[in-house]
Amino acid sequence: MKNIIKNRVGLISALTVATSLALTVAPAAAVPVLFGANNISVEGDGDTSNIAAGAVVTVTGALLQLQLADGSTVTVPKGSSFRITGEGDTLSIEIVSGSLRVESKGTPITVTHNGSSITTTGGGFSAFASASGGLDGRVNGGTAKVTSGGEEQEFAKGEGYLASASGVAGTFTPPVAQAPQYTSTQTQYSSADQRGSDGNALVADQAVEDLGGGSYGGTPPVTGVIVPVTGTENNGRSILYAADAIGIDQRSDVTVTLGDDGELNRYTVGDGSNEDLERNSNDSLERGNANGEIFVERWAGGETHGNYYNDYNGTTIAELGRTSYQGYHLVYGEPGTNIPVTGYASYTLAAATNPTFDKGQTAPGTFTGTLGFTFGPTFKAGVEFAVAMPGDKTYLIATAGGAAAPSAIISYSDLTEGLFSIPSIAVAQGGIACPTSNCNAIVYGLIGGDAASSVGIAYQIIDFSSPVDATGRSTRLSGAAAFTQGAYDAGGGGGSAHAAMDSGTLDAPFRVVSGSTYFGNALFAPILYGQREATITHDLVFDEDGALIGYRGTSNGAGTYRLNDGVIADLAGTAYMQIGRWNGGTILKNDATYFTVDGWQGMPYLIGVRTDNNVLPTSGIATYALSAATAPIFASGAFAPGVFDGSAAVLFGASAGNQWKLGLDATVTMQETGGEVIYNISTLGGIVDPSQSPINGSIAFYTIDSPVGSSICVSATCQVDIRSAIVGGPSGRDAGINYVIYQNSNDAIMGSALFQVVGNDVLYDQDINMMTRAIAPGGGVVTGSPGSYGGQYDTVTYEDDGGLSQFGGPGNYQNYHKGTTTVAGGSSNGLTWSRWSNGTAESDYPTNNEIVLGTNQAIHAVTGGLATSLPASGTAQYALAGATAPTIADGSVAPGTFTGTLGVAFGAYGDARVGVDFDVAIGGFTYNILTTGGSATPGTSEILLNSAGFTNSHVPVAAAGGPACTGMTCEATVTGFLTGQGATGAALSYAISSNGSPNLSNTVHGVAAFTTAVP
Amino acid sequence: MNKSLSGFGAGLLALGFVMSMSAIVARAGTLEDAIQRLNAQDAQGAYELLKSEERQRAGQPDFDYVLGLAAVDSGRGGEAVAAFERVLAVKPDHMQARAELGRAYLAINEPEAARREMATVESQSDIPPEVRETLNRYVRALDTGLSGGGTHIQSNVTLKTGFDSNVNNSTSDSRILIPAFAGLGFATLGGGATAQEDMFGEVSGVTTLTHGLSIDRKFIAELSASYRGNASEEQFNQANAGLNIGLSQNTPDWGTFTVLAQAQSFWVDGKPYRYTLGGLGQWSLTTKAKTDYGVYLQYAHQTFPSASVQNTDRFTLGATVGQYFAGAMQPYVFAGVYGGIEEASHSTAKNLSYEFVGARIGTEIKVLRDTSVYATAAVETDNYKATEPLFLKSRSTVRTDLAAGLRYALSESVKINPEVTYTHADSNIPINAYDRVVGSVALSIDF
Repeated sequence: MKNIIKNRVGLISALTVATSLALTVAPAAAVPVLFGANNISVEGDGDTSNIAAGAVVTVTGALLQLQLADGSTVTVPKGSSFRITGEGDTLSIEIVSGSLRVESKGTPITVTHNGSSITTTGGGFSAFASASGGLDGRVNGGTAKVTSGGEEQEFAKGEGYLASASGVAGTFTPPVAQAPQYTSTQTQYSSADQRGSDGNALVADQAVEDLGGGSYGGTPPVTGVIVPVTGTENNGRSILYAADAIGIDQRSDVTVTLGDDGELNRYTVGDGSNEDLERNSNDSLERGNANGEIFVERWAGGETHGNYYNDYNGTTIAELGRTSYQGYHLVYGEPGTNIPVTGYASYTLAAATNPTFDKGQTAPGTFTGTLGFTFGPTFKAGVEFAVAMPGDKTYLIATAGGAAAPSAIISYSDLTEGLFSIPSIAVAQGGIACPTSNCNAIVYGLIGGDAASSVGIAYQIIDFSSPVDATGRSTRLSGAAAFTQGAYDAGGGGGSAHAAMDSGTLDAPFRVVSGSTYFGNALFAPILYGQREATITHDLVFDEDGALIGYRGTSNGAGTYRLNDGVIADLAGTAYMQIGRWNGGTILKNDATYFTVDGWQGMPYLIGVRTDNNVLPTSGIATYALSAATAPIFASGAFAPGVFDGSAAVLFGASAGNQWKLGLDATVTMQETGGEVIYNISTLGGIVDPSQSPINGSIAFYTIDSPVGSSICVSATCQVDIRSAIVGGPSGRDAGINYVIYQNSNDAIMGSALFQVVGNDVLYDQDINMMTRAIAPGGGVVTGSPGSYGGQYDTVTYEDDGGLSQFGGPGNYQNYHKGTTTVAGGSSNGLTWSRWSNGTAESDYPTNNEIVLGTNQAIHAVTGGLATSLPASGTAQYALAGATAPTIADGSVAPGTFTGTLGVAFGAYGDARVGVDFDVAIGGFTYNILTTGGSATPGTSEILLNSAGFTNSHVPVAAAGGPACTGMTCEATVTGFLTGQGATGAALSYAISSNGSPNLSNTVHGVAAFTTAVP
Repeated sequence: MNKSLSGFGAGLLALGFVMSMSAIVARAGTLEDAIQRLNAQDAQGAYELLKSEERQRAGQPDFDYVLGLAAVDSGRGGEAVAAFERVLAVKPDHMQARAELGRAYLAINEPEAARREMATVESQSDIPPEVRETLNRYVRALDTGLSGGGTHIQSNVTLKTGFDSNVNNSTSDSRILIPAFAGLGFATLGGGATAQEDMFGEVSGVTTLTHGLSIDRKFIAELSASYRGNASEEQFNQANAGLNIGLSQNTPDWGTFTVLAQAQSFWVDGKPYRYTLGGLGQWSLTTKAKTDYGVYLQYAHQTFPSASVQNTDRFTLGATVGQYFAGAMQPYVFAGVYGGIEEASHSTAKNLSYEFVGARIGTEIKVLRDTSVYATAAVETDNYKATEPLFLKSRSTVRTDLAAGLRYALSESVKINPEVTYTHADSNIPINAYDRVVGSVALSIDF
């Protein structure tokens, strides 16, 4: 009841007010003023008590409040302007400037500004005309719907909103609601004062305010005017530009509008990018051309007008102002025709704009330079530019070999449009443009005329570490120039190929460890598309000698690479590490030609299998001698391969986790323009104190002093990246690096080196990551004897006279030593078999075990690397490479003999099988271990091949009887693995007894090794 | 917030009446009646009385001031702001109105403006000390809120006891055939490798510190520890200590992004068993429809001091979704999927490397005012990447977890939580297959 009464009272009140307004105050289509009628000015001297639609109202006093018949209120603070755009059942208001706040009692109220709107029915919100052109504010009650840029979003009480041409978003920091200020003496401010002015004025203001402050030097720009575009349109042009804030880029399919004096007044890009920029109030400065084909000029002193690429960044970029010391440097012209496909051309300077800094830090400078090209499948440029800035310094932009011997690989070219670019040329640090680090130059080019008779370039020198201001300005140096062809030599330019280099041999084929996903790194010469290398992670492919001819990278430089028709220079390596350089042919990436190189470039690589830190020595420094190195090369091929020399040291246990550090004493010697240049790439502390070295893992970076005469190290220091450092092999016996020397450029010196430890010869008798099968009397027959043993990542030690002196796993696994036993064995094709007898062998498992073996008893073992790249189908036949003499567990009869053959049927699990046909002769009896179908038809065998391993404990033995099978039955357990790339070998153990058990006292056992039969 | 606001309002009302009651009571009629109603805590009545005269009297500071008071105290923050602004437009030095304007701004969620107005009044020299103190307290509170919420520490201790059918997550089959030693026949596993049942007790605690760095960014530090002891199988007693430190970034439209560095130590039988160092990146978003979304990426480097061969690096990527539903039972349903890889760092232990994929689903329903029940189900498949040396095949495991429980709130901060969980792990390697049932009751205390 109480609510009903309240509602009725409210209704009566509302009706009273509404009736009163209708009869006496409010005309149609006008909103009554609740408060502040004297605080406003109305466009056209309109009524200030009832605000009519259409007129702009400006609040000049403290406050204006409008109130609708239902009590809905609109509050407008001092300094704001608005216009009522619709009134009736709903109210619509457009903010001209400033802000207002809405409190709706039910009437839908909409506030708009510049295409953005906010609407509430029964809620409240604040709305500010934002600097970005839309609306922002906060919802104060109920909900409100915000629409802008084709988006719509509802906001609830307390939520801030941002509406602009790019859409609608939320914010935690909307503008703060305004209220009448405390005292009249307080500084009065408008919304615009609080929120800053637009971009153009900001630039102009900064240009003025910062005069003498070291930035935005020069005469402030002429702003706030729109200069009509006049002139003649010419289409089919390409254009380059380099400018502060906006950067450097190139466009094709451009229409240029030229004034009466040849000044560029406008350019329009016709590829749908919506780029249409006008010179507007800028001066056209330093206009010049090459042969009337390529034109340059600088826009400065005003503000541009129009659209920049896809309206990027609104008008902030498109309508920037520039002082007289700044510049928008432009190069344009018709794309050239009949561009040569061979030969060398040199160019001389015809015209250039005065180079400028981003902020006009100095007056514009001067540009001089020469240019050269070698045309052909690999299009190269050579530049020698000098950019002199008054009061600062002269900056040099030069590629290795200069203009006379072009070496910079063009990163991008679309010669049908005449366009090319050189992405990165190292520039010496120092000066305003290069205050900190990573300074380099970017050059974009445009070839014009017939047979490349003219060339234009736009350039920037950039130190990317320099901070930028609110308009994107920093310390960049920009300019443009036009060149005319001076000479052309159809057969010149050093284009003749250098002979392929095929050299080196391997100590052992590289052995892949199953499951590895990191093998090393390969560097690219030339550096194409900014890609300098690939990390080698998968799918290594080797030739018949075990040399790397293919790999896949899955991260850096992702793709599949293959040495197609080239050769390998400086090939060297062990089972654990290999280096070489692909060169002299075509290198494929993802089965397509990636690049074709001669003998001076290519792909220097390092692959290795890292020895885990926890099985490396835990302390001490080991010294390594250089065992092989690839001749260091320039990525650009500008100079002949050089010489690497040096030695290394590894500090083990350098940090937690038994991490190591590798120290280098090494030099790279190259013959460059001025003669011999020696790059000392030694690490701090060298091999004496590797603890100071930065090389402590796969990748390391450090700087060196730049040698005099270097063509790539032009600053005081130069960068050395160790793109891969690997310590591998037994106890870290082998170490390798894949290195690159460079300085922010698209050129570099690169190579690989391989080192081996000095003074620990036993490591050269060891192998790690080996598969082992061993068979011996069971523990119930000979105390501590292992019975059947299988190891997947064993360390093995070889006897000089054949066989093994040790096998087993490091760390937590079984480990066996020959002790005082007699060793018999042999090796073939990476497989080694061994028999220990007549003495006491030892094991670490469980603890310091002694295994006493009689003359006729034995521990048999066979070891090899696990097979990789198994055939997916087909069969293979294997011949016996060697075997131990079979023994009986209790030693009751003398050792016998083993002969046999083996066959493998490859395929899916279940189909893949191993067939055997073995004859084991012992104690006057011969056991024929024969699977169904024998070795000739392995597909019907009882022994399943699971990946590269196989086992079956019930393999038929043709005849019972003899010392092993005293009962009615006779079976064998056959367990083994395939070895080598493509499964070129097999190793196995066997145990013959009445039920195949290896642990009976009369079990006959042994091991055997097989290799693929020679056709 | 409501509590604070009412106290705050009372303080400012005192300010208003102390400083200018003489001006207000000087008027007769409607205004006097409205003041009497306000004094009688009848803000609604005062508002209705004054509102009908607003159009005629707007611009009269005394009228607008009392109307503003009536509006803000009757829950009409927007109208109160308009009324107080009129007062200040005419009398900019009306400190009472400015202070009340601050309160009205708070009511319409304009804390920055509220702070500005209150600070202006607080800075005046002629306001009573108790009023200044009240204003100062709220200015500081607003400063804290606007700078990110200040520093908060929240802790929880949970005591749990129950029965565990398999305290060591082991197979119940004590005879296992190990292929590499097949010739030896079945191996017999020791007690530690087969399932052991036992009663257990557990105490755990967590303390979380959050510190607002800005209005949208928080620093987070969380310290947790637990100890679980078994009645007889003491060799499987476990302890755990963890530390998370990081930042959360809240965004208006795209939820919250959190980055944490994580460290954890896990002990078994009083000896360090595993150390974990890693990081967590997480994104979460609650929509207006009360749907929760989350995506997370976690990295953990796990080291085992007594068996370094088991050291692994674990990467987990997951996504979750949850939905609140309206109704008395306030049901909440959630689901999540995740996957990742755990890579053994030791090349000789690649058999310990595996890929995993899992999913979870669950719901919680409020059945009584202080009681809710919940149920969850989860499944995870683990596929190992290399052959187990002893079993000559790669391990593959499917683990299913079911849980159901009840949460009863003894008070806002104390809860009782009986729960039953069942775990079934199926593996192609028998030693890794097991079942486990745990029944427990927990007492949880927040402070």
